[in-house]
Amino acid sequence: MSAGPEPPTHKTARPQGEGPGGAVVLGCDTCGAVIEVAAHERGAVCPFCATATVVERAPLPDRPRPTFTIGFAFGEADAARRARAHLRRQWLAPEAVRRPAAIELRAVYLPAYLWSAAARSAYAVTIGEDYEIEEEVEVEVEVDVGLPVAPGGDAGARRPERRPERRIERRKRTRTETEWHEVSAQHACWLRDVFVTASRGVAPAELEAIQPFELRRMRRHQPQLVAGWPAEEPSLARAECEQLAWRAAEDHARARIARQLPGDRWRELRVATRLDEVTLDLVLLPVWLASVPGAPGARVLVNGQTGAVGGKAPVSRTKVALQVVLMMLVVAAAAWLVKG
Amino acid sequence: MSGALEPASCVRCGATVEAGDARCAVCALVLDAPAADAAAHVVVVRCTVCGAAMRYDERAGAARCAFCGCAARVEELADPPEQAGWYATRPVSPDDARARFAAWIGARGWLAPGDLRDRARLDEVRAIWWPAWVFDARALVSWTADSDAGARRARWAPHAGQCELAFDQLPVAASRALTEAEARALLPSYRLGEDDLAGEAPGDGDVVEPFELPRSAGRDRVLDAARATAAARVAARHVPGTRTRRVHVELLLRDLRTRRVALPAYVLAYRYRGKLYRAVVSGHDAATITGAAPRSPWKLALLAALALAAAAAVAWWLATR
Repeated sequence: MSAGPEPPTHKTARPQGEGPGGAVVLGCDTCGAVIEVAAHERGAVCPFCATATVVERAPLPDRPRPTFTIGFAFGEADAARRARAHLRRQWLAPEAVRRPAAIELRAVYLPAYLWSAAARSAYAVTIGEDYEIEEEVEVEVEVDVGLPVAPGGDAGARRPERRPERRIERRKRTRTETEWHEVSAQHACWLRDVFVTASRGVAPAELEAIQPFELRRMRRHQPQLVAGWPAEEPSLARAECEQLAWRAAEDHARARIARQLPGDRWRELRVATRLDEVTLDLVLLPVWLASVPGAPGARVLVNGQTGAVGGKAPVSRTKVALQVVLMMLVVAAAAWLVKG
Repeated sequence: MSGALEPASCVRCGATVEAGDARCAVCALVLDAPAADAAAHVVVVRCTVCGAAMRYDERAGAARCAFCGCAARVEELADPPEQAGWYATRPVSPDDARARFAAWIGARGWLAPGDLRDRARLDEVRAIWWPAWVFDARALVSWTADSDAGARRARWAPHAGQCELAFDQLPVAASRALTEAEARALLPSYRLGEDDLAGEAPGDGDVVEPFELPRSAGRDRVLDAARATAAARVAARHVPGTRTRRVHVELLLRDLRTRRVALPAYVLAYRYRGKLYRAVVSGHDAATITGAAPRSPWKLALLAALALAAAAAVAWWLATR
């Protein structure tokens, strides 16, 4: 990374006023043009002189100031390549979506809460321990008893047929059985480094699909990290994000418990988790959003830091119908072969 | 130098917090969040060279001026290389180390060459300081394991439980100069209390091995060591039965305090028949010495022949029984 001779000047000013719906009205610091920054946005670029302005609103319980920002490291061209490659892998999508003539790509600093907590869980599970038993079984085997000798050893006689004989034999066999035990215990751990979305525009599953982010490259929030790039304000209330965090916590705690279960196998895992000492900190995450013009169901997210891709594409009814027909043909062919 | 100042602690888990930390290394609590200006304001980031408005550039990872190409400095989260803050005392002198070596080289066992004691030539005795972390913590440990207790037809039965464990002055080697086996042999010789870690800074002729890991990687090593220690203790004291397998632990750590220490030792390089070997004597306790010694090829061959003869005799006995 190249470094300038001095830190940049952060010129700070008060907004000129409020527009409709909580928008901020400000005068461009370079050309004086009046710019309106919508309520859900954190900055704007002057359409006349391209000066990037960052708006730091007064913090509210549902709209805190970001604590950290993860800067973009993936450019537009790389993100577009990843998005197109992801769409190509959606075999059931219409061809116009799999190989689009054009895609619309938009960068956004997505607000998300980075949460951590002490998770205490009580769990009960049925654990299976395998053991092997040796047993004797009767099996029917074919024994070749040899060729019958042709009478007189006549060279011109018809070649006699083999006469396999069926016999019952007793053989030893090892069988694996499972002994089941009920286990219940307590589990406690720090749950950390988990993000939940604070934006109505991006569903929790969509954000989950492009994680993880490299948190060692995370920086304390500074306006210069988002200058000139669209950045969103949280659009989900903090209480809603806490609910999402709760659900994520239950999943994470369950996964941690499942990873360390003893035995050879397990079933019926029941977990009740209590969270203590919960903290949520707002982080701006770099995300590229790709959409296909004319295909409203197609949306791809690209992690602006690592390039991880996730997203969904609409399903082609024709392709699904063809697949069903193909499967039915395969099943019919297999049945015919077995019967034959 | 010794760490005389009481370090700051995380208010949630009590772990030591160091200058530059943005989050607690154990529980991830955000530390020292900068006070935010409560009033709304707008910010324009300007280049200090030409005054143009700057925009974040993903290739530079910082705001960059489109006109003069200057990139702004960005505050990175601190992850500096580790440095020793404590030096263990060194009561063992170089002469003590030489004397211990003389005794050690003469007692290398039957496999050592018969003339090892007379022909081993000590090349150099070098005082070194090698790096290690020493940590204290307490933890609520949730464990699971299989053991033979309660097993019915299967050989194993599952067990799970929770216990409180305390880690007091547990050392974790960070040396690359010493082998893992050498470090393991030396570590128990060091007393690691406050007084024992109040040694003087090394002298000019001493070699001080640096920590070759950044702070974050060092913390990962300490946490791994805490988990490994907890698993060993749980297997030994808490899991019922006499045999265990698949011991897993999850730690809810509290009050983790890590000190980066330099531990004294003497490296004694010696030659035997032109080949170089080394032994390492603890600088804290002259009785502890570890190292490599040559073995007599004739004695090794004799041992192999005896083993073969014994195997052949057993095979013959089994065949003729």
